[in-house]
Amino acid sequence: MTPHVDIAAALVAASLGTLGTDLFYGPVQDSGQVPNAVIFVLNVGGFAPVPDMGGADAPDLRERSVQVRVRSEKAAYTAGEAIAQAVWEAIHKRQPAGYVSWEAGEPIYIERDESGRHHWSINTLVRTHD
Amino acid sequence: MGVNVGFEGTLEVSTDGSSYSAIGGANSVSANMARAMHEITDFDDTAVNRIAGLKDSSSSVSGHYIGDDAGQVILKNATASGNDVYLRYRPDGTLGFVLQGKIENYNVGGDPGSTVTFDSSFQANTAWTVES
Repeated sequence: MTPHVDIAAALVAASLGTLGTDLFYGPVQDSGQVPNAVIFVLNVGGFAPVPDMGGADAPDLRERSVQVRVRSEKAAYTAGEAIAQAVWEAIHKRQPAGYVSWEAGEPIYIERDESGRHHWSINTLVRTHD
Repeated sequence: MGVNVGFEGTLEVSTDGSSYSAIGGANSVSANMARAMHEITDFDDTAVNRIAGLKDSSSSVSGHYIGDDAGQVILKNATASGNDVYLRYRPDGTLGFVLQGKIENYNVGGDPGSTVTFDSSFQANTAWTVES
């Protein structure tokens, strides 16, 4: 399971971004290749797994966290907030194949950065039993 | 043999005592092997005396609910039918204890923000045995 990859795929399917264009894996970045209005999807750890009984090869219930960061154009708060909300709707309470569940927290406004761009975070709990 | 860790253990259930199914999703178990004690102290004894009585056992298991798991299906069916089942708990994954008896209850619950869980308890219907 690669939660950040699967969540990014769900965002692509919801027409919220194009991988490598305005949707990227990993932390927030600034470069000439990355537009202002963009989404980043990052694995950020999780809780200790809860093992099933049955030996080292038995499944674990795993709860991992994925952070989706939405960045708006400069002075485009309303548009950015709408995208953050759309991201939440695209991933909350989903149960893709291989997952127990995805549960996303409400979008959190993070900051207005030095370039005037707004940032939101959607923190998602990803459960698997594998 | 060293100290065992919980996830090494296997917990299985059977309807016939020969073909066992793992109880999938189980992450906690307690198997209690007991023997009744009968006091036989005389008036002239200087301490309490006892003799060993009949064997007894009970067990409880809990974990994540998996509706189609073969082991959990056996537990559910045995709760409904009242028929005996065999529980085999091997703390080190190799050898352990076999209990025969009845499922006293099978409870399922959860809330929308977490996984569904189950727990079940068992009471003996015959003597427990130690695998060797």
